[in-house]
Order: sequence, then C-alpha cells, then structure tokens
Amino acid sequence: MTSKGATKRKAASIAVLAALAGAAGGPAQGANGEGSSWAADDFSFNLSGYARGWVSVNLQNQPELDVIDKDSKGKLSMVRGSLLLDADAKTGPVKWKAIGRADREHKTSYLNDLERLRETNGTAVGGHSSSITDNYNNNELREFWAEMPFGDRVTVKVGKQQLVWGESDFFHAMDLVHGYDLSWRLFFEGENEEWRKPLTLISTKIRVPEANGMLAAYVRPGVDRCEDIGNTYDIRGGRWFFQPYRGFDLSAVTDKDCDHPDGDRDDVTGGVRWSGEAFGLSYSLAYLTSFSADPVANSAFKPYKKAPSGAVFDLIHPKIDVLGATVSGYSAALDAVLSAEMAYTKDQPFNVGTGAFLAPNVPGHVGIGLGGVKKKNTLTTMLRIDKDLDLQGLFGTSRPSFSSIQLFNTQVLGFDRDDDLVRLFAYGTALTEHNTILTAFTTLNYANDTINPGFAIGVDLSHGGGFAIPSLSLTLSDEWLARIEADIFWSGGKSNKTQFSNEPSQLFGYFDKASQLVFRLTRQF
Amino acid sequence: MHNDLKFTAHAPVRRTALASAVGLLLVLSAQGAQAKALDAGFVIDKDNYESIKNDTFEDKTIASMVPEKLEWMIKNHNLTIKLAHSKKIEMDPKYVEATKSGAKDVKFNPADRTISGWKAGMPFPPETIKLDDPHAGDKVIWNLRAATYGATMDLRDIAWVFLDAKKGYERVQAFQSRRYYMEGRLDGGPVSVGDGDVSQKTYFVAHYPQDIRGLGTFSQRYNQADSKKPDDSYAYLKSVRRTRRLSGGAWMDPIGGTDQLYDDWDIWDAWPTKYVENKLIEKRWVLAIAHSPDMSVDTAQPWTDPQKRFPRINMAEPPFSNPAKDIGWEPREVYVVEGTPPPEHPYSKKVAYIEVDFPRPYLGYALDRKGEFWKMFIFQNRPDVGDDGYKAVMPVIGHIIDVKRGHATNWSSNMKSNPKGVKETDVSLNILEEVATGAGR
Repeated sequence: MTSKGATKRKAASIAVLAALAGAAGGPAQGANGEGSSWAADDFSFNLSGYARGWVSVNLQNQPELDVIDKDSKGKLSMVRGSLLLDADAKTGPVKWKAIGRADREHKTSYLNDLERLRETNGTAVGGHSSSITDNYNNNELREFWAEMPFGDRVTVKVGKQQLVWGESDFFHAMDLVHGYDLSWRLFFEGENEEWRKPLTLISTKIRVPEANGMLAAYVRPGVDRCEDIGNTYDIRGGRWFFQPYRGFDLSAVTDKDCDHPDGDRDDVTGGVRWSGEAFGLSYSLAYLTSFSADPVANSAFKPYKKAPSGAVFDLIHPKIDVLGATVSGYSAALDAVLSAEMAYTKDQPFNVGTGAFLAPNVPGHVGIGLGGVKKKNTLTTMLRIDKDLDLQGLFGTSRPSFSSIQLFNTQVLGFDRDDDLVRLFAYGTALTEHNTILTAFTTLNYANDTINPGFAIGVDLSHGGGFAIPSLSLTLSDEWLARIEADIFWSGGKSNKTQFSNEPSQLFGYFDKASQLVFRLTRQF
Repeated sequence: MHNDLKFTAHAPVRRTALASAVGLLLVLSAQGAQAKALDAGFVIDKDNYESIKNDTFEDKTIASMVPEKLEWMIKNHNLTIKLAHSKKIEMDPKYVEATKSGAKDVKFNPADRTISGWKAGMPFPPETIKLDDPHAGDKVIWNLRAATYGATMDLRDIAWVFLDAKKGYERVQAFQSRRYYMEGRLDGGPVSVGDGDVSQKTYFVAHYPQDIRGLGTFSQRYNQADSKKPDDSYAYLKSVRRTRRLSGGAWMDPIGGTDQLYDDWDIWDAWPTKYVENKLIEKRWVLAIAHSPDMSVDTAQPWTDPQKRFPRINMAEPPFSNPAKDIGWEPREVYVVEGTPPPEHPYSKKVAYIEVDFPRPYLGYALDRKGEFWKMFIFQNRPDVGDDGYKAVMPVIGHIIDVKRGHATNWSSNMKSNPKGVKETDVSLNILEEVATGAGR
C-alpha cells in the first residue's frame, strides 16, 4: 500500500488538484465575470470549492493513555484543513465533473501521545504509516466522470463517481455500492458525500415515463484501488480507533487483502434498481452485488479460503448480494412523510470466536473473532417519520423545524448462538440476533436560516449506549460558514478497557470516552 | 325683535355658508396653486408625497393610485416611485382566443368554490367579474391558474438576495428553475398534457453558493380544484446524494430561509380553495411596475458586486430592498382581492392588487395573526416574447419585505417564456438528480 504505484497516484492527484487550482485562477475568470464560470451556447464551465478547517477537543480522558501517564481531556484531537475543488463543465451534450480534495492535519500533542502508545503495545514497527497523521493526510481525485445522453430516455455516466441507493440516515441498508472512509471523520459529519469512497463505475439511467419510473443500473468493472473497497476505519491507532485500541496500530500485524477469493477487487460487481411513483408513493426495488462494507478478519489461526499475509490476520471484504426495497409517502393526516427500507443481504460475513483471545468461550475456537469466517443472511429494516414541527411559537424559530425519527434494525436470519459469532473482530462480544438503533434529529432555524441550532440523538435499543449531538450551524456570509458541535457518547456500561479481552463492548462501547467538541470553519468560493 | 329673531335664526346658516365659501375658495386656490399634472420621470418620495398627492398623472390623482400600504412604504420605507406612462400590454392572440372561446364552458360551483370546464385562457374574463358577486374574489384568483407566463416557464438565473434594512446586503442563493404547465398550454401543441391529473411541475436547482450547489427540489401540483390533494415535493440532497420525499403540506411555510412563503410565489400562489374566503374589495388604479427593464440579473457581473449583478434592486440606500430608483411605475387598473387564509396560516389576511385585463399581480401585503402589517410585496413585471413567439407577461423581480423585522428577500430572474426544446420529461422527478449534478448550467 506504500508502493511506487501509490506514490504515482499521489503525484497524479496533486497534478489534478494543481490543474483545477490553475483553472480557478486562470482564464475561467474571464468570460462572463462570474468569477469562475464560463458559459457559451455549447460550452460551460464552473469551478467552486472550499477551504475548510476543523478543530476538535477531547471532552474525556481515555483509558489507553494511562500507560504513558497522559490524559486526553481538554486536548486537541484534531486540527485539520481541507481544500476541495469542484469543477463541472458541459461540452455539447456531455457533462463533465472533477472533484479533488487535499487534506492535511497537524500532529497535536494528543495524537503524538497516541503515536507513542505504539511503543508500549508492540506496534511501533511494521505498520503502514510512520506518522499517525499519515492516517489522515490525503490528496485525492474524488470524482472524475462524464455523463452523456443517448436519446431522450437514456443517460450513461462513466468514471469515478458516487452512486447512492437507499433511504436510511446515519446507517446503511441499501446504500452499499460504496464503502465509507470513517477514519478521520467526526461521528456526525453531515455531508456523507465527503466520506463516501467513490468508485469507478459505468452507470446508466433509463427513464420510463409510461410506467412513471426509472431503471438504473451500474457495473463496477473492477479497476478500483484496494483502499477504495469497503469501509475504512482508523485502525492505525488513531483518535477514532475503537476503545480500547487507540494507539494500537493494527496495520503492524495485519494487512488488507483485496485479492481474496471471496472478495477480489478485480471482480466485476454491479446492480440494478427500479424506482418510481405509484398510488402517491415513491418506491424502489434494487438488487446489487457488492463488497461487505465492514471487513472481517481472515485469521492466521483459522484461515478462510486463503492464508493471510498479515501476521495475525488480513482484513477482507467478501462479496455480498443485496435485495432491497424502499417506499415513502406523504400522509396528509399526519402531515408527515413516512419512509421504510428493507434490505435482504445474502452471505453477510461474520467472524467466529467469542471470548478473550486466550480464553475463547467455545473450546477449540479462537477468541476475539479470530476463529474463522461464517456467512449469514441478514434483514435490515428501517422505518422513519419526517415532520416539519411547528416550533415557532415555542422557540421563536422563523420556520417549521425539519425533524425526523428513525428506527433501524439489523436481524441475523437463522441466528444460532452456537455459531459463536462476534459482533466485530478484535472484540469477544457475541453477535446478537437483533441490533436496533433509534435515532432522531431536529433543526431550529433563526434569522433567515443563518443561525441553526440542531440536535441529534441515537440510542442502541438492543444493548444500551448512544450518542447526542447538539450543534450550531452559522451562515456568516456568502463565503463563510461555521459549525460548532459536541459529539457526546455513552456506552451503557458496555465497553472494553482491556485489549483482546472478553469485556462486553457493544456498538457505543467502541466510542466510549471519544466525546468531542468540534469547531468547523468553511470559506467557500 | 323679529329682525333679531330672524338674524338669530339665520346666523348659523350664514356662518356655515360663509365658511363653506371660504373653504371652497381655499381648496380651489390650493388646487389652482399646487395641483398639477406631473410629468413622466417625476420621482415621488417621502419628502414630496404630501405636496404632490393631489397632483395628477394620466388624469388620475397620485393619491388615488397609491394604496394605503404603498403610501406607508413611501413614508416609512424610503420607497421612491418614478412615474412612467402606462403602455398597453397585448396578451398573446392564442390566450385571448382561448379566453374568448372557453369562458362559456367554465362553471363556478358556489357550494365549494371550485370551477370546472376550464381548458385554457382566463376562466373568468374581466367583463364577467362583477363587484357585487360574492364569489368575484375567488374568480379573480382562479384566473391566476391561467398563467400569463406561457406553457413553460424558465426562471432563468433566479436568485434570492437577503437584505437587512440596516446593514444591507447579507447573502445570495442562486438557482436554475423551470415550471412546466400540464394544462392550459398555448404553445401550439396539445392544450393539456398527460391524463389531466397534474396541473404543473416545477424544479429548482441551486448553483450558488457552493454549500447549496447541486441541491434540487421538485414539486408537482395536482389538478384538484378543491385543493385537497397536497403537492408532491421532493429534494435532491447533494450532500448525501439522494432524493428525499418532503412534506406536501408546506404551501404556507417559508421557502427555505427566505422571507417568502411558498404561498407568496408571484404574490399569490395557492388556489383559491386553499383560502377560507377571497373577497373582491374594489377595482381601482395603482402605480405598478409592469415594464421592468430587460435584464433583471446581469450574469456578467461577479457575485462580489451584488448591486451590479442585481441592478433592479436598490441596494445602495437604506433599507436596501426597494426597487431601483430608475424603474418606471405606471398606472394600472387592478382588482383588489382580500384573502382570508386558514387559521393555521401565518397570515391573517393577504391582499393582492391584480391587473384587470389579465391575471398579473403587481402589489400585495400580508397581515400577521394580530392583524398588524407584516409584509409588503412589490413585484416587477415585464412582457416577454417566448422562443416560440408567444407573448407572455412575466414577474421578473419579487420584493418580499418584512416591515416588522426590517428584513427582505428579493428575488430576480431573467424569466423566459416557452424556452425552446423543453419537453414534459425534462421537468420531472427522474431528471432532478441529473439536472442538480450539472447544477442546472
């Protein structure tokens, strides 16, 4: 992953960013005075973007740092800057898009402390990043595609792009075409286009107005990089690695294997979706074959179809098949929009082996999920109600507040406790048949939407724990935007303090002691 | 005694007669000294209004053409009115003919205030609207259904400018938008498109500033005279790259963060049956902007110079939200309709001043739930010739002024009627994402 190829790609990304930046300051400023737009009868060009900075502060002390007698509360967890350039052009009937983004982080004293932890846990050498900020620094051509019509009904888009199917907020039922980069982000970085990992696809839309609908399909020809496949977590011991593994560079003892027989990035994947309107409802039906978003461990102790190259395990993303449906409609009686999504996933992979690494719950198995891979079918269900709440009288807002409550459940079909499945590798906690999360959010709007307090909350109904995110978004001018938020987590008493142990961490245990206060400032252009 | 009595008896009469004569003389002398015919180009402002209100323009006194709330705007909101001669506006012959031939088929049902039988043109031509008809207000508002915009409306370069009465320009949000009428079409093709269920379809796609670039909305209004079926509304959320169904009951909510309700689009957007009652108050003359200059948004100017980019708004002088001083206001004959919205509506009353000869709102105002003056609507309009030669009349600037809060949202658009080559499928939910990802450019 740190090969010459990667260096070349990095150089190419920088070149593209430089070219986009050149376009911003070059002739594009001329033609019609829009600053960065050209327009003529058969040609148009526009460049926009932003420079954005984040500063976040830890609100809690994290147990991992006790080893080096350090604390984290009140310390800067992130000082980050991003430059994004978004260019679109039209040449005759063809639309073009290029988006590039460069990210840089300052190594705060807290990050430095996390990096020092590597020396205490045996992961100081052999990892994929020499500096902890390598986890977060990036130059990337995020999108580069062309879209062209074929007749009145058909458009085809070719190139690196984002394709989103599904309805759910916060979590993903059908939105499984892409993985997400969850390594640097805040827990609730609202614009998920920023952390979705684009793929090179050939996608098409075929409009069928006679049936009041549209057929969409895509093929992923298999030219993406390994790092583009599946979700990326902060496994190199960064601030968002799950408790109790902050400071533990997992890449020192593991690899990511994208050439696994069950999950080969070169394999062609794709999907098809019908969406339409009927009886006042919006609906969609979709099938796709993709890679499991979350990786599983192909353990050296019990290899799955292939011996791992990593000392302990390889992360693999086996392929899955997903059949899903969505429906939404407006209820005049409730003055609300009701939505539902169901996704049946065939062959969702899980790791085997509950219990501590050295003390598995099932004799003969290997604990913390290093005892192999087993596939189960799952059913993901989402129910949601969106309503514009009239809070003007109560809070003096300038318009009704867009608010939403969502129930999200994942059920393991044919669940059998004897399968000894874990929720996530590196933890010994048993997978449960149902995982149900209730989320809700609302936004208050003041002063023509320039002052927007918001509040989001989520609760794990199955295991306890949750999150709350009070926030304040400010539109300061055409150019300047600001956001302040607190990401507050509670584990419901189910978190791990000891690595490789049999402690009972569930979803929000991973985020234990990760509460943050975050400031974000954007200068857009 | 008798004489005394006689004198006593007649003294009040004589004093009254004397006073009347003196008063008449004073009035006559005042008129003779001050009342005059004003010339085109004369600018009415707060300093001269009282002295010229009895002067005339095109044989009507200024006061008779300045309704109370407009006078308030002159005196309290620094509004200036540059007089311009009225010019005859010819509606498209197809519109005139459709009105003439179709009106006889239109039936008004007093029981539920709905209409039936309408195909195109005005359902209720001016000669059929009687001041003593208790449903005349409904009929004037029903005429708005027969839009003067043409069959397809290109809200080209439309942008909402946010203006503070003390600080001036705050920010802008710019969109591209199209509205496709499914009925009453007079572009040479079928008068009605589809199965008759849908009245109109509209999309908006944001292209500036960057944080909203690519955000899109699509709405579909159903062809239900009783307005019981809510609009279908959707948003393409660029930040999460998916389309989300929205509430269909938002017709009385603000459009985003603007001062304008969806119901204020073109001053009056809702069908009359959405309102509890619509009363035709009077027919009168007002000063209005019916010939706004050709370019409403100068896209050659940078965003950083909003006054140049939106030249028809006076952003140079407080309170920064009036029409530019050089815009001509001309005498127009209007219906004055007072609407009573339902109790859950933010307004207790809305009053609109709508051209008599064709359904085009020029002015309006809204009262809050306490009955206090809340918002003033001043819309600039102009005749336009569509790409197909259709003679339309379009709103091109909308001044929505919150006089209570000292804030305004003014939209401007190089509105175009019947843009070439637009098909029904080009304004549809299925196209929203594609239009939005191309940012409508």
